[in-house]
Amino acid sequence: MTDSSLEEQFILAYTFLNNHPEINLSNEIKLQLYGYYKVVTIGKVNTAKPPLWDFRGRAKWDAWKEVENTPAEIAMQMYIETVEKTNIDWKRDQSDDDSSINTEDDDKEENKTNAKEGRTTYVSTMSYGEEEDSEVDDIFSYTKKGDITEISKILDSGNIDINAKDDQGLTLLHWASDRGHLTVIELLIDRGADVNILSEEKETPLHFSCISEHLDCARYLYHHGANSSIKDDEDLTAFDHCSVQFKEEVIKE
Amino acid sequence: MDEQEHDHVFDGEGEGSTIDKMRAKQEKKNMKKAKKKAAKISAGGSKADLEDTAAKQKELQEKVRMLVNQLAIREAIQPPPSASSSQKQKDMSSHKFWSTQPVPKHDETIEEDGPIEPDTPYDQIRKEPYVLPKEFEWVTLELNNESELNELYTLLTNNYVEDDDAMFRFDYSGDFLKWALQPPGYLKTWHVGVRVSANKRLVAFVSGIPADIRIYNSHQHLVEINFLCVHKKLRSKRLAPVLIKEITRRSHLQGIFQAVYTAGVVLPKPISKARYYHRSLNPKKLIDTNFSRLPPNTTLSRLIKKFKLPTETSTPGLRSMVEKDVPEIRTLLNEYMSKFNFVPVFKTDDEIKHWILTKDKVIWSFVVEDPETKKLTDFFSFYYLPSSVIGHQVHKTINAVYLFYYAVKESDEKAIKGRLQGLMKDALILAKLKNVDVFNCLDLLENKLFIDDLKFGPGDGFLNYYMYNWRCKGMGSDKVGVVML
Ligand SMILES: CC(C)(COP(=O)(O)OP(=O)(O)OC[C@H]1O[C@@H](n2cnc3c(N)ncnc32)[C@H](O)[C@@H]1OP(=O)(O)O)[C@@H](O)C(=O)NCCC(=O)NCCS
Repeated sequence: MTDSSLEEQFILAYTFLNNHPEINLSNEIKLQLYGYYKVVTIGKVNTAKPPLWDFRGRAKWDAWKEVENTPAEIAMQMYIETVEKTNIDWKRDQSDDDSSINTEDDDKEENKTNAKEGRTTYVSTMSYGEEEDSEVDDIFSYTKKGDITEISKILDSGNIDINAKDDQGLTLLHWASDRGHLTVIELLIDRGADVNILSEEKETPLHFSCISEHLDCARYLYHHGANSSIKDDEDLTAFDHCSVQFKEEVIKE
Repeated sequence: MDEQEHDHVFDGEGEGSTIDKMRAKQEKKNMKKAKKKAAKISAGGSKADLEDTAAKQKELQEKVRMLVNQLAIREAIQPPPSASSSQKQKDMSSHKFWSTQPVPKHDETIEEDGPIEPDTPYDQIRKEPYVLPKEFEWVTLELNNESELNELYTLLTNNYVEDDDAMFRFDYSGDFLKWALQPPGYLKTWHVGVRVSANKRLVAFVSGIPADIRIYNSHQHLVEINFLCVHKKLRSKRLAPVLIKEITRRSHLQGIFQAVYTAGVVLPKPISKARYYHRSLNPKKLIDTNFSRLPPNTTLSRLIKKFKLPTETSTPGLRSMVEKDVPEIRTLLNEYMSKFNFVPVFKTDDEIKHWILTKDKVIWSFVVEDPETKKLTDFFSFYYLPSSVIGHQVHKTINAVYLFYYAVKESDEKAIKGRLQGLMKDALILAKLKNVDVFNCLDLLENKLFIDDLKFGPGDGFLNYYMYNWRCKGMGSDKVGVVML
């Protein structure tokens, strides 16, 4: 057997193992393989002994130290034989076509899944299906996000009806009042938005701020011309939707 | 090399695994061979030979390193298929620990119910604790001691999470832990902790409590395992298997050979899988804290209106449970449980008193008393387990309650549905009055009868139910009655 075939076999064995992370090897075997691998690729131990606390790192270091004087050829041989003998489906004369491999250490195996759904949730939270994240970047979506820069840009461009309604019958000011974006409300009112404009259900922007309990927004609307006696379809005023305390806070000068 | 440390950290599950032993043997043979070969090489060589070998070895190492690097680069460009999700099952062979335990395999077809291994005779039960890595020591926690209770509380609140970017974590109170861990007949030796020997810091825990359950037709007195926790810094070091083996050993010593446990992860082999459901009571706060999400095309106002509840309950005769209700509730609950396949059996009034009777800020129970006969017809209970919101400026805590046990007397399906909807709506109202932000439940029992109508939404959490050393057929979550904390 020539050296080059030995090293090829070593690579194949290594690649095979890394391509099949599902293969269950005992920790002793993993540690031995690790030791041989280090000897083949690096030689003698060249790192400091990990602290007592890091027992995993320490065990690996120990495994390497134990075989560090093994000549590289022997280490490769040992590596190959170990892989062959662990009753897994690999023989040195058989190659595995797909040769993508993982990096050197077996640390990767503990692969924490990054995908959210891959995690074990301890505190379960509300789940949502794939949602129509309708990423149309129009002035309504910027208003919902509170992106004041984009909103002013579009308003500055001039060709926009500030009191226009979307498919839900809501204006920009309704959305800003619902989401609680005070600066957007200020901008919209400054640019002439109708502060008492009604939705299909006859709600004013103040209704939205009161129901959603955005105190700063409700105060601003109230003190900039919002009519608090307007009743919605349920025959309720904006203040009927909130606590007395909230109402008092809104009215307060 | 330190054999002790190595053995016990990396091989917490080693015992009893013949495969592992065989592998170890092979491994030793390999080792001997290697040493022989190495000896041969160095024996015959002259000095020149040796130098030559060293140079060759260097060259070889360089070559191999380059090849490996090339492969690694290719791998970086073409990453392997993404890792599996936690709700997917792994092969039994890849469960280094669980494959050595008396639990059914994922693909096993189950013909007959029964234990997987016979009870271990007392004289064959290991009498001394399993060996921990030498930096650590076992400790039995005394929860009546305020400072030890506090240590447990601290361990769990800081570490009952997966990783550092978790947004929420359970905020168990001391009273909650005592309720969960000190039921009638509890054993202190089943409150198992692990401390760092040097500084006595508590870094791991697992608990067992005695319980009576019925699974299909089999009544069993067993142990319920819960609160398995390993400090974040000590994860993936195979400490969990040692804890599990130790609590198993301590159960064996009490003559108990079966256990019930639940986990979010899929292990071999779930009896049932339940899903969490959440009912918003305070939608705005839940959205602010990212517990739930506001769909881009929905107004917050609409969502708030959707979840609005009356301020008064509607079931006539509904009142708080009091101590004198205990015997009647026991009968009512045990009877109601008879229609499910995996249920608790409450054998004494003391158990009901412990588990069900209201304890403020821990568990709340309500009963329905027939105004005429004065007999109790129904009851429900929910326990309080807040979660801390990590890193939020305004909100520190989400006040959550979880539906616990309940019973209704109706027997006709349609009547049950109507009754349950009324009762659970009242439960929501009562929770809301206690300033609770979210009402949670699993899809166990007959919860599916009201989940949709009462506007519960599915959660991203699942809970798998398991039994240790017991083989039986699986069941739908609507056949499960056991509610674990
Ligand atoms: C659960 C926890 C103790 C596991 O510790 P860990 O350091 O991640 O795992 P370890 O390396 O020590 O042990 C891994 C083994 O334990 C098993 N395991 C992991 N979580 C488990 C659980 N909740 N129940 C039973 N076994 C579990 C694994 O399946 C694995 O065995 P396997 O190779 O046979 O599959 C730890 O992650 C933790 O404290 N998590 C937060 C609290 C928690 O979720 N507790 C469980 C609630 S049900």
